[in-house]
Amino acid sequence: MITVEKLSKSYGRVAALTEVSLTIQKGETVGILGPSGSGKTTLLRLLAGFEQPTYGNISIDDELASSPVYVLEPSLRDISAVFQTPALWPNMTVIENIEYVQPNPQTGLFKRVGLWELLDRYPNELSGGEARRVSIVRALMAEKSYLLLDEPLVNLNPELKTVLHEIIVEETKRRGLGVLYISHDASELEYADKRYMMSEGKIGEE
Amino acid sequence: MMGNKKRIAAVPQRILLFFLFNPLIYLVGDSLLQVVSDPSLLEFVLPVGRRFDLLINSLKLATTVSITVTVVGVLAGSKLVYERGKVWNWIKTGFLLTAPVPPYIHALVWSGIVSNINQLLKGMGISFSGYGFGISYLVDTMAYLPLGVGLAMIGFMLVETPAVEAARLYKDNFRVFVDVVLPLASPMILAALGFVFILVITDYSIPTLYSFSVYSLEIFSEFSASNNPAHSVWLSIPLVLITTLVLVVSLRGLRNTVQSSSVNREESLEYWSFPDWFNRLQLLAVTVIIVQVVFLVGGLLVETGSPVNMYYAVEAATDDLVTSAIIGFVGALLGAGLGYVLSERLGKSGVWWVMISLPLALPSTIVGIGLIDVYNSWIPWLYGTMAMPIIAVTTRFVAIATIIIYTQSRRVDQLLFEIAALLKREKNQDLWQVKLPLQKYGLAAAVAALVAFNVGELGGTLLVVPPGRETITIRIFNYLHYGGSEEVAGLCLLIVVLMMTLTGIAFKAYGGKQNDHCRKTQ
Repeated sequence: MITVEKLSKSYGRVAALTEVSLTIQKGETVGILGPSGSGKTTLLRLLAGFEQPTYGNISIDDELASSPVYVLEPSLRDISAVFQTPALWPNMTVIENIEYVQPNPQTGLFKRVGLWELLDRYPNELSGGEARRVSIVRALMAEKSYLLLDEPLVNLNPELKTVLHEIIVEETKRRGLGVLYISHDASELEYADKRYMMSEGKIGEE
Repeated sequence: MMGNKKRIAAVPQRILLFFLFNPLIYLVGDSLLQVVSDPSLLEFVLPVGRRFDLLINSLKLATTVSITVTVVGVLAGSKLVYERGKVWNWIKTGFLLTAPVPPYIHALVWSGIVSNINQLLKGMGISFSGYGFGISYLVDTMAYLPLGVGLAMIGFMLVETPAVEAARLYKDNFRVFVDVVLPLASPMILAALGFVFILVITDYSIPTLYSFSVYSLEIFSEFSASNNPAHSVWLSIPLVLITTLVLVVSLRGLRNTVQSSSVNREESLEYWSFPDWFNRLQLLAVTVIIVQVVFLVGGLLVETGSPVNMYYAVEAATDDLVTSAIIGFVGALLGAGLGYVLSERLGKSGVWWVMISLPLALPSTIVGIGLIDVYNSWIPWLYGTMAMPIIAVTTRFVAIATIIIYTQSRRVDQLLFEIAALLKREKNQDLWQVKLPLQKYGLAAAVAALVAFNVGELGGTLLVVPPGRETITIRIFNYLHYGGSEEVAGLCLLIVVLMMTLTGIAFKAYGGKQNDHCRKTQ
């Protein structure tokens, strides 16, 4: 279980996150809705270990992962993630990007999301939608217990959005992943076990 | 209609190219004509006998210096770029400020240090040679370390943070560094290797001071002896082939460096750590660069002795300082302007990279000879004026300005430029309201860098400086041949202070302000 306790993050005088507390169980999906600038991405970056909290702490499976004086290395957190940008490694092909996190990837998923023909391409040879598919598949294939999703389906066409959403729901349920799903779109989070609203760095039940 | 517009837009670029390449094209054309009437000139092309040894000497020096600088650059750069805190900032600032200090100043300092060490070791019967390959290698390495470390740091800064962060979720820090950061930073690291190799192999000033004979000196000597430019042109062919090859290979990756400033968050890499053995290597590299700065500034302060010596040195060299300032600043403004126009071309074709970089690949003597050849016979009213050294430094270093402006421009999200071009209501509205404001830091950095390079240039200006005038670099270089003195050290100290100030402005413009912009766009 991921436990977030009174987590706060400030950049100088600007408070990006104020006393946020929540838990994410394995097999559970926690949805977070909120407008731009509400602190959703800051929360995700703190969970991933990319930033250090100003106050409060994060524990993963009962071990301290972040506090104002300690940050556990991201690769040791048992967390995978999809970011707002695809964040593909431009020096690696599609298959190399995926093999970086999973040396024996399932081919079924490639075919299902239409990546089968694109495996040998480099990121600069992909369209925006294709790159997004790769980033989602890469995160799903990693052998991790928790998955952070930061607007994973933003700017995709409706058909692709539906297919990828189905895959995310099925794969995370099948593998019993704990998921933190951040989105602007409430319909994407209808299936979530818990939903929160974020506003001005604070979190509240929907 | 569109065709006409394109043709009109191409005119200034053709004029610029003609301006840059005219002396070189003429020189090559003249040399070809001469070889038709006298085929024996082709014997100059083959480096045989003594010339073969000179070429090997040049290759040995350039290869060892460029590899050392690159290795130290990667190790120290990867430490400095991710470290925060006052002490690290002082080390970074102090070191990078010394980047454009000309090699001959390092020569003065290290000659003094070796001499003092030999005095100390005299009783023990040990001594280091003050001549030959060893001291030339040491001085060139120390002189080009800031360039190598600086470019490596820029390379690491250009790596997209989301790509690094994504990898950090799955692999340990050192694996991420090797698998993702190094390959993505490699274009700039390779460019550093190429630049250092070319600057060393085309320079004769440092090896000459230490009686280490190199090929580029042969080109200069041949021109002095025969006064026939064709001899030097044919003689330079082996060197030019090597430098062109190195340029093409080392700059190949830089062209594709694509960067969106809006996604870089360097603070997220503050907490990453590496294995102990790698940390030790990084600290060793950082120690080398600290030694470089301390010895450079400390050595000059000790040699100068007192402020009075510095005052007398400056007073005696006032005219030379004015000449250097004119060449430095006018050449920098011209070079940055040309660089801005040419940088637009760099993203479009690899051929432009080769064409723009070619003057950098030529020995400085050839650039000077080309200018003499053309302007002495075609435009005599310009020959013998201050325009000549200004054209010489512009031709030599316009590639550096172009690449600085190009890489800074790539740090800005290209979509901003594309949208501005799409939505503009008036001609050039996008240039004045979007492009120049977003690129002004690159332009400022290019101007400052060019001032530094222009003031330190020797091989080209030495040949074309107007009669009765002398640059500060020529004066110091002449002094060095007679042996160091308090006056030379005082002048060198002055140059170091000026160069460090200019570099401070350049780095502030290139790095600091750009980062402000990056944060604003998030």
